Amino acid sequence: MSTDPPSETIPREEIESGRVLAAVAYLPALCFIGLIGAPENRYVGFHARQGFLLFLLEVVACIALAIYDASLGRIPLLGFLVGAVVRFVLGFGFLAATIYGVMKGATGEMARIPYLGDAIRKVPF
Amino acid sequence: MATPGEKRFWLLRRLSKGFLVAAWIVLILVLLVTPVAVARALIQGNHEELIFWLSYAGSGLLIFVNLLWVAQSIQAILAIEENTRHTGYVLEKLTTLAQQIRDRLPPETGTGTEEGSERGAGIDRPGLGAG
Repeated sequence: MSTDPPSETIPREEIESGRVLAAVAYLPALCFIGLIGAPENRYVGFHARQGFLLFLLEVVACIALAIYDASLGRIPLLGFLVGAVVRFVLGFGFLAATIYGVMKGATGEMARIPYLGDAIRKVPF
Repeated sequence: MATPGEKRFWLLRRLSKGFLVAAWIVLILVLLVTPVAVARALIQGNHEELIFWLSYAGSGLLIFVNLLWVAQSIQAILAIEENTRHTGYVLEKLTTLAQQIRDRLPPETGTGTEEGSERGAGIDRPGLGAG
């Protein structure tokens, strides 16, 4: 079970050495690079797990949108409009979360993404 | 010769280059295939095929943008890191230099300023000037 260490328990050197991998972890599907590149670094581990959750959410959203397109999205005009709005909102939200995570990871802060960061303890690695 | 930063993040650099190459390959494929297919669908008057190829081009462009975004993000993060390290190095050097200069300077005494003020006062005195 992974633990979520508070930022003050992690030495400054560990944070400094893991800043790049922590920032990269929020890019789509690149969270595993941090876990492979620095498995012992707790700072990278925290951001990589958060990045993994974000990636998982993106995949789930993609699947949900594909299902929507194949079903309700076929309703003339309304289906397309609702789908476009949902796509825009989701895309903008994911982009904002990614930029927020990259910024926090690069500046050495152990900040949680709102709503998503609370689920970090449930990540099985 | 590779710098320590390049050696350290070689995987990320290669990934970034890989993503960039993949993005351009996708774009070239889309640009090569789509116009021909769209033209054929238009000539045949097949609307279903036309919509299929247009959606194919759209998703191809989306993949291109996504790959490009990831590649450029990695490069930006690496550039920021490199910049931060250089800034830290320069600051450290400057601090060391300033310390060395401070060490070589004679120790400051309280009388120096008093003498200076007296000297300055002497110049102002009438009779001591061009005399």
